[in-house]
Amino acid sequence: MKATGINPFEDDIVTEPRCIEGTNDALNREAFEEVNAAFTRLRKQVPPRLDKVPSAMLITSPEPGYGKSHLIGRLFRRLDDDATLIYLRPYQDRETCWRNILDKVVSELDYPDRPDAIACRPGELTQLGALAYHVLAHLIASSIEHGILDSSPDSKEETIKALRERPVEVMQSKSYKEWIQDNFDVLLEGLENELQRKGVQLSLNPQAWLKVLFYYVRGKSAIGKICLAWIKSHPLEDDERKEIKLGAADNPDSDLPFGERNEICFKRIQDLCLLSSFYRPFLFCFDQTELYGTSAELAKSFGVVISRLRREAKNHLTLVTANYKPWEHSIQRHFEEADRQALHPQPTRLKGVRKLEALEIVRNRLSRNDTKDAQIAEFLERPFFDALFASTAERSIREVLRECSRAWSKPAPVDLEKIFASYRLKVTASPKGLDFDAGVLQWAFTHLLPLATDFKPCTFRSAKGYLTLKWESDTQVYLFSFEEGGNFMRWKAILNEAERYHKQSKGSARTLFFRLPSQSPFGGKLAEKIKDASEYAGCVRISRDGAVELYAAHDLYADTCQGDHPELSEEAVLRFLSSYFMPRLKHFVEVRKIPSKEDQKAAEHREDLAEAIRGVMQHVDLVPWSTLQKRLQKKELSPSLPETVAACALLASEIRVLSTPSNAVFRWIK
Amino acid sequence: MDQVTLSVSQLRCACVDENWRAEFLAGKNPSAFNPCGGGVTVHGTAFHKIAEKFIDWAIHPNSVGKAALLDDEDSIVRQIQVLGGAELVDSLLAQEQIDSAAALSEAFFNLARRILQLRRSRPRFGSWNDIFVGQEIPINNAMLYGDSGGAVFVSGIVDSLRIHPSGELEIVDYTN
Repeated sequence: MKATGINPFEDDIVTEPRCIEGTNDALNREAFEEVNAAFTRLRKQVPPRLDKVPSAMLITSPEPGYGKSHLIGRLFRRLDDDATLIYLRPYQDRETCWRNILDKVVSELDYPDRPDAIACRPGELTQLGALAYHVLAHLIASSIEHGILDSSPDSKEETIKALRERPVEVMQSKSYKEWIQDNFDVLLEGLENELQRKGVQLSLNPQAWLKVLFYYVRGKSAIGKICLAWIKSHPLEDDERKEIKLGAADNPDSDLPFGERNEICFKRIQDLCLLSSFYRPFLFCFDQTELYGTSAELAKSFGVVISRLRREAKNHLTLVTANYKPWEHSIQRHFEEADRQALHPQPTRLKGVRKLEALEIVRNRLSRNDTKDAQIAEFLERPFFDALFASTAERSIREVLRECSRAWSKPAPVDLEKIFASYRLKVTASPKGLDFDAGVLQWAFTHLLPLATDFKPCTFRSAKGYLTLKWESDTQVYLFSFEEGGNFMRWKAILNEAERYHKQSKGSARTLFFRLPSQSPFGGKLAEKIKDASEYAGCVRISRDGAVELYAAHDLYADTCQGDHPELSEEAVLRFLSSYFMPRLKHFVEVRKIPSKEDQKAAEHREDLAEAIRGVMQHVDLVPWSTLQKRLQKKELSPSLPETVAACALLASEIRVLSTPSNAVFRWIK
Repeated sequence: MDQVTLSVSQLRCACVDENWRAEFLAGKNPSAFNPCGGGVTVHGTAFHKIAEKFIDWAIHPNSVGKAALLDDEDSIVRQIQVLGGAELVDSLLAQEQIDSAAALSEAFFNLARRILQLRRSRPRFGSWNDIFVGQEIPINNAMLYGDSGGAVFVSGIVDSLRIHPSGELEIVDYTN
């Protein structure tokens, strides 16, 4: 059999569990059923599910390539209607961990309410939309049932029945929309009472939550974005707040210490779990966990995250996937003992595939690739299959697929350019792949881009926590803020902090922050404010291509760390990426040289020189370099030609210089 | 006595360039073309015209009074530039002939510097007529006596003839 142009075994890494193709029931069947059973037990609690949640489940893989992310993808499909699915890539800043997790939770809530899609069809519900309709319908039905609400669009029994059986359909009907609109204030009070009656104690104002859920499903996309921003704990502008009828007290404070902001974000995650206790549980999946092993503090903080979710949040199951060795050596050993207790004592271990399972998986993959039956049979009878399982009964699925790939067509030499290009393509293909992700940006600016510069990245935390990274060189300091929102007061606070550090450093510290193409540009008075702050702060607008490159670099590195590219070392990948980004650096970092003392002296000298040149040129229109040089020497100045040309840049409106490397003519043009 | 015949340009080279003189005396025929050009087109003809124009202007009855006021290098150069020098240099700059433009500009300054020296070395300066005797003066076998007793016959066209502060004539040959 000749190889076709496309090798069906080449793409063997899952980077987005919603996009897995052709699930294989044979793969990790036991682990799959174990998680499924744990989730089923959780679902059996009677709503509202306020009981203690099960221990976090740890799924370990003996080596990379045993199908962790694939397993998550299969669980997403199985738990489709039963869970709100949250896939969490690692955060990088332990002190803002909950902010980062909440951002991702909200981002995932805005995904379609089906497990195999990453973008909504027109009119399709998101996970948050489904949650909002179900929670509101449940509370309305229950309020009517218990006499808390004494009116309804239809008869009491009919209304309750309809709301419980067909919540989304009923809530979307015109008559209910109008009824809710007309009775909104009464409803709010009724729903709040119902929450209290059920013992659901939210951290934030329950009425604010109900308004946000209501407006999210009712409003247009711009209103929906305001609701998402509020859930993320981004402060709203007054006009935005009024759009969703929130009181001033419900608006997140725009200038809080970072610890408090982080804590408030955790409380919002708790509240989301509680609100969802009337509906379905959350499934939090922490994947690519190897990146938590970059420092002991980060690993320790991950232990705290798992532990607090288990102890303080209701109605969810936490799933953690890890490769066994890095988990044992770089991550879990840094956990506090109490935090270890949050994990199930018996990790679920992924297993390899046996020969028969492998044959089935390979057959399925070839069938999906439209390979003819006879060709499939011929391929599966090749001797490499027997050889693969000659010394061991089980192999990792990735090992099997890679052997198949080699047997299908001659393996191409490892080409990092091509590998990186394939990652860029994956990011480009994902509609939400370029959503603002502080974790990715923080990683890129901490671990990647400094390699392409002379700067040294340092751990840093400004007093208020808005600036979370520092780059240092002998003469310059850059501070970074990875803030997502666009609230004027919040940015005012950030710029104040930037200015303070600028002054403290006597002008050497400059703050940079970022806007991605997925974000609205800064506008109005905020844009003016940022412009006014240009001496000490600047906004870098990262292009779409630039964002794709950064996100793809992160995914490539994360996959390499978790062993998905055994032929590549982490160092080799970083080396390649740093040389890739070196000529592109200006797209990510606004390089503005802050003058050293020597630079300042040189600038002063240049000004003096410019003044002397002006003195010479004022009386004559054209002066050759040799004459100018003699004249300047008489004034006890002996600049080189480049110095003289540079000084003339200060006189651009008066003198034009036409030069070669060794000669020049100076033309007075004023 | 052997007779040697020199053009004005050869005479200039013999006076200012020791190597040229040695080669000439050795019976060779060294070039009298601009020894300082260094591969750069110097636009000598154009310079001649501008210099001639300036001197004509400086001694013309209509402008002699105004010209007499030019008593520093810059004002002389400025006038040379006004009389077509700037236009010429600008045209070279427009053609990106930077070295040529620089050389030509420098030549204007050199001209200005020299005639200013002559002016300043005169105890009393009335006008440029005190300095400029004439231009483009043809001479034929003019015999010049040297200190060592020899004589030189000079033939050709003198670019400019000036009165040296010592009272003698200064023969000018602009380099090409």
